[in-house]
Amino acid sequence: MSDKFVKRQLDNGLSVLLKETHHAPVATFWAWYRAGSRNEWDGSTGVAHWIEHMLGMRFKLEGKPTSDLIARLGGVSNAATSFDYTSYFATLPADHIDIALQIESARMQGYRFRSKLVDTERTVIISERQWLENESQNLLFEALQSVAFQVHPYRRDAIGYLCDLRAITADDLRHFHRTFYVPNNALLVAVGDFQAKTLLGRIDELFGSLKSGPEPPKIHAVEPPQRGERRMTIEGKGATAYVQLVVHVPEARHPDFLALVALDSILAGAGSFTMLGGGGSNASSRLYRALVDTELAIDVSGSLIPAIDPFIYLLASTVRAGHTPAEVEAALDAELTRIVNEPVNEEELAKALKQAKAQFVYGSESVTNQGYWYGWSEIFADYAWFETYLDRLAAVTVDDVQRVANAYLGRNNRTVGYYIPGGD
Amino acid sequence: MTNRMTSIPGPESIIRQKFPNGMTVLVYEDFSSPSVSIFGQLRVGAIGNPSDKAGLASFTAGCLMRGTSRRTFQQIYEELESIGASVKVGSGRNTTGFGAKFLTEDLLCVLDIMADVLQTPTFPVNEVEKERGEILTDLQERSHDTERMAALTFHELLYGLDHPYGRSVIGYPEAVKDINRDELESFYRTRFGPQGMIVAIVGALKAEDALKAWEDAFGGWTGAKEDRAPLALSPRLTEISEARVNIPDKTQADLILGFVGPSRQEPEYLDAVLCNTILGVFGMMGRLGEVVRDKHGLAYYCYSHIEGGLGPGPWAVSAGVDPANVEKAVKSIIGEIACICNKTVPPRELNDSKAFIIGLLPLQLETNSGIARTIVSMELYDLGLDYLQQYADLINDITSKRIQAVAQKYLDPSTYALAVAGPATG
Repeated sequence: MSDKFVKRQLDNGLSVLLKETHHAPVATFWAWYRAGSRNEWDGSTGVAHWIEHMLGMRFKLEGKPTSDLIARLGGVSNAATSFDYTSYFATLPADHIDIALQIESARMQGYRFRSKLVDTERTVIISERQWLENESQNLLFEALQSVAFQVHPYRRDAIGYLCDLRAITADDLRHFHRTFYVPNNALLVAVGDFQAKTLLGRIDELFGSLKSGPEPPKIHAVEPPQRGERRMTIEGKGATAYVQLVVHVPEARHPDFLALVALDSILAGAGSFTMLGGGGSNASSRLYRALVDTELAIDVSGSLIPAIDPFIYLLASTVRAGHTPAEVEAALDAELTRIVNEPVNEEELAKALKQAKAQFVYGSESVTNQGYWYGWSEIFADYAWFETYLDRLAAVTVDDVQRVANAYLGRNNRTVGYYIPGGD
Repeated sequence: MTNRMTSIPGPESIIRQKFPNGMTVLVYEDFSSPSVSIFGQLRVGAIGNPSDKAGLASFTAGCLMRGTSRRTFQQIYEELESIGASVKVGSGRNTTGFGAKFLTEDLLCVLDIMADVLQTPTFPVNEVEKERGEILTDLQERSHDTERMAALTFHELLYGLDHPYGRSVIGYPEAVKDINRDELESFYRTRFGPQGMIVAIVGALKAEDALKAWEDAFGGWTGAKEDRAPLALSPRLTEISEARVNIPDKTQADLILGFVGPSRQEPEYLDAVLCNTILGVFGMMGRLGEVVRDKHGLAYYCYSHIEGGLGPGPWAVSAGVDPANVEKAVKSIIGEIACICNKTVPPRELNDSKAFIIGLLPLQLETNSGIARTIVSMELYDLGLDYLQQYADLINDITSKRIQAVAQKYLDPSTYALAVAGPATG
């Protein structure tokens, strides 16, 4: 490991990953907790995300909102909760990175969760849920998740159920926080214009004395194999129909994962390596040609998310006015059957690799993106997963693609959802 | 920390060349990543649409990628996606933007496609119909989208349907159904050309190579003559103008409350940007976030935004709220607007927001596409190549009195437009 890249574990179990890059005078600093919606229990769904709200926008250092402290130095900060993690970050001019360290150190040390503030935040979180519900595609995917997964907590969305959001108490938040917000369940990541050795010393000063806690409980849920196609329908107002199809796929560490990346790229276009998504176009992909070029749909996309445990691969499409979800699904099914039965060609695979290489380069322009990917890959695997991504993708063969298509795209492994508009 | 001063793009590092056909090309070398971003603007946009043809410019721009004299739609995308490149074209209110992102090794291939797309589109009938169908489905989605319907209604209220800013950029179903292929081609022939075109090329390539490659690809383009009718004066509101759009089966309402703001060229534009930062951006959405979201818990998001641009775009507040809380949220928003008009901003708060805006600059200039967009804005609004180097001084010169003056000029809490889209209550 070079001087420019440091990975250490402090005595209290806190993992630290630092990467120097000096092309711009900026730095990003992240704290990741292995605490997402997968770690929640029935009746307290949404608690991980709620804590993120309390420790993110409501968190104060020496009486001042931390978002203001970062902003007045010309930085930006935010936080996110997923099914596998909760993360907090700040990106700011590199000579001010110390304030981000101070904030994360304070955030790791405890929080009181005053009931009055918890109640004020309740209405904000319920508003966020309403905002998500306003999108028909979100409603459909939440329902689809709950049908595709019957055992694993991935069946629940990170926002939480409305009934739980109305009932969660400050004690619920405290309990989850005490269990998961301990140094031995956390990871710090910094990327940017700093000296790694100096920064590591400062991290040791600010975080080294924090006490580790009991090892958080492991999730042992294993989703049993699906034994037949599942189907569901959501009905609602509006005029536009949507189709979503998911199949169970293995976890990020699984040897098949990179072959699935190539498969996704051939079917629906390359994924993005920027934090907010939005990669290139996908008009030459197989599914675009089959669904959009044929005027059955106005878009189609694939989403293959690396996760700790086996997750789902999503194909989603917006039905064009005048057509039906069944027509879109039939065209989708024909393409899935084709890729199972006929080998892809070498050119398609070469295209997938070139697209991934380009997306990788674009993503590396920003330190925030790099911090995001280094941290996230440590959550679901390790940073080497990210660094060796292109090499492992280059080793995928046409046989690998056909093998994983055959293994995961079959009807027995599918859950299909329609959003059916009921008109006004 | 290195405390290294990385040079901010300026006259010594931005290479600018104007070509005889009217295009201005700016190049900034940045070898930190083996990629290139191109961003440019043409002087054609929705303001050129006839009043009964809302959506014409956007529809036309959408067709440029759908077939050229040398490539079909599928050939364009097959070539681009095979090299991991992207090219985009889209029309806004005042201009049409185009951009590309690619690995440096693919420069000539991408410029060849961009030249083809911008200079020789053929508007194939079947592809025009595909584009129309996608637009119509998108408009169908819009009619049930609270955020988009609030924005559409807000513009109609603020500017009126007689003003180009009051009409939808992407149009209305009836107008889009009515536009025929010949109108699209005619609009392209008469409006699209290199006159007034501004393009920035940023990334891992030498400026002289970039200029030569761009000239080879676009130097021979003549296209339409620059023909821009002056933008009609926008009427100022004289009273509160409100509209509610009922969208059943939604759980959240979106509201936009705002005013006609300054254009980018107005001398007080940066005063307005700083005022807007204090009102609804700083930290977690400024004063509005603190009061409407954090103190009262009325919204998941509540922020203010200023559009600027070549004409007087809106200066407005957006919020997503529980339908039962709309009136309370509006009252809080109006209260904060009145406060920034009536009371001078304390020095500490002013200085915090100044530091935020100034400090944000390195983050905006971190990526090739961020630099390209910034350089194009500097040229489009005639800010000068040393604008970024002057930026901190320009912001630091702004006083609390100037903030209050710009607030009082534009944000009259007794004459605003308010659009709310969501489920009916009561």
